Amino acid sequence: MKTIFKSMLIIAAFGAVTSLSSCDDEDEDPITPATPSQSASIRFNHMSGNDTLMLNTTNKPYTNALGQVYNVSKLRYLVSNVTLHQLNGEEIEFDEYFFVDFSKPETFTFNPSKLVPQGVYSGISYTFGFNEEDNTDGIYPDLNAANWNWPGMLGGGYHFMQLEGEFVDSTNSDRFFATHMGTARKIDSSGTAYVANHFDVLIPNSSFTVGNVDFELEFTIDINEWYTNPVNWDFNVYGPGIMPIYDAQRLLNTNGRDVFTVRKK
Amino acid sequence: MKHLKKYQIIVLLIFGVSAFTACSDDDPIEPIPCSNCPTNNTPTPYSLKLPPLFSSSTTPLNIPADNPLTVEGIALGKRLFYEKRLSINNSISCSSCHNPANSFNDKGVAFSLGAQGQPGIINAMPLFNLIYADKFNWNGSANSLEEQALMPVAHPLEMMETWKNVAQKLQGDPTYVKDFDKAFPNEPIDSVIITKALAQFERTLISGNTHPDNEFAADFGFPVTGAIMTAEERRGFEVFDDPERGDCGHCHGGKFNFNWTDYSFRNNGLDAIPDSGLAAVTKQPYDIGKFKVPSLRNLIYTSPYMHDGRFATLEEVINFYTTGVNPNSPNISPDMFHRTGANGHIINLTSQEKSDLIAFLKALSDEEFVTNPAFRP
Repeated sequence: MKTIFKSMLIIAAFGAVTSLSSCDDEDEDPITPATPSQSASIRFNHMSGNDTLMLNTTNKPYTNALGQVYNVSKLRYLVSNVTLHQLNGEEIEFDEYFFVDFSKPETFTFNPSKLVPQGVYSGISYTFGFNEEDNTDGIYPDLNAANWNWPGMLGGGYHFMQLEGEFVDSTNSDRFFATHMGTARKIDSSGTAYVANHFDVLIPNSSFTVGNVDFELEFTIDINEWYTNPVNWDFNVYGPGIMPIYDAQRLLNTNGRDVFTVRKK
Repeated sequence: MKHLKKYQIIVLLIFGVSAFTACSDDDPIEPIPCSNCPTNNTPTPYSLKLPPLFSSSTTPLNIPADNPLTVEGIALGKRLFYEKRLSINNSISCSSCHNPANSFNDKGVAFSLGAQGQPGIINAMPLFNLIYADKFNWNGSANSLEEQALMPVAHPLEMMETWKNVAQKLQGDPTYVKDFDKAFPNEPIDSVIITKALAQFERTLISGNTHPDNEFAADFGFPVTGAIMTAEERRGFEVFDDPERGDCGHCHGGKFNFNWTDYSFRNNGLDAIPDSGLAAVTKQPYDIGKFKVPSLRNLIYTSPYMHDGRFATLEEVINFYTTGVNPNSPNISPDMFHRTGANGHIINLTSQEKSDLIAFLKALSDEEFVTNPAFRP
């Protein structure tokens, strides 16, 4: 992932040289015939339970596992290291991140340049957020411009998710929640530690076969899964202001692992 | 479209004439002087110089394909920016409310006065780094600088003039005819071309020489080119960045976002019954009260603050954010509540933290920008 940023810099600096040498490579090192490959597109789809997610509804159409009703005014999240695992053990990793803003449908679909060889795949894995190596302060200009950075005093790097809206609290009043996720800061008697808070998941039931046509992988996020399995999330306890709260950050890490399902289309 | 056709005909004419003259080498034809002759002016492409921190970014520059920056276009835009004939009684120019000495803002005035001395209804915005923005005005009513520049001329509270009159006034001035012909050869002088020129000039208004710029650019490995932050300013940035104190970053970014805004539209909780804001454009009830998140650059030149200029000082602004936010304001951004913590308590800043924060905010002011002779007539 980080390598793509580095290679962009290198290309910028040595563009002409690189393209020259790649021509030479072709001449001198004939590549063994590759397996026929296809283009994959990645598309993100958004649900809350059985309902298609909608923004800024005047009512509160969604219900979490604790029965708390809510609506959504913002959803942005970041997925990286999407990897397709072949039966033979080969891995096809897309060297880019997918930053989705639910208010901008043009951010739902990505067309990675890396081609996918035909064959049988045992499954798909991804990283929610950035792993420690990729979660480096300030190196992604598009994310910087989107104010996606995670505060330095919470460990820096980038947000992994912002999910915001209103819920009806225990006194029957409307209140806001802001489920923001990133590096988890832990302060205890031994001092301050910053705990990487991304998670890697091999999505269950994600085997598929690539034939001789291009295809789409549809990732569906069910936002209700952030708030249950295994622990039910209480908006009254963890509403806004959870960024510095270690337990809340780690609970998202625990609960989030089943937020995505995927299918090939 | 009409312009294009006309232009194409002119190009064809030029080709025809040159083809003819090329064949008659022995008998060169003297050009016949005329007022409507097509000209061969070619505007000179202009390459914008960006501060180190900016140039490190791949954030796209919003330059429309049909209005590239040219030396002549920018010069014409600057002349027009200071041109009072854009107003009904030749009394005010763009610069009357967007004064370069005040970061192109009307300092000290909540509502600028129009051509006949009448006050407007919204605070004039400062103009800088607009090349990075994609929506303009407090309520996002313009999608480009060209579109924005169309608005004040005919606005009944601003310049009160018709575009037809403006075009006629400028068409009658031979020095303008010459300048337009240099910048936009063989195009009619009209609102389209005038706003293109104004937009070109506005895109050159880059402000990026402050203590934080110098310090953060050094973090990216650029050589230090000017003064960096003082200890007080650095403490202030800590308050700014701390999610449990300032938490300014969700809307205004931080050391990695040199725009100091994400250009989003938000309700920051000023009022129980807010002004319409973005909803005036989108007609969506959930956009009521949302205004453009302004950049934090050049604040010492741009008081008063907020879309209606209600706060005269930065102290008032900080006091508002610590204790004055109305949590029940419709469509208030949930990001306003991070600082309230899990228990819902308000986190107040100490007076030391407030003064440090204000020192940092003031440090984002760029003296070179407000004294730059390139931006003056």
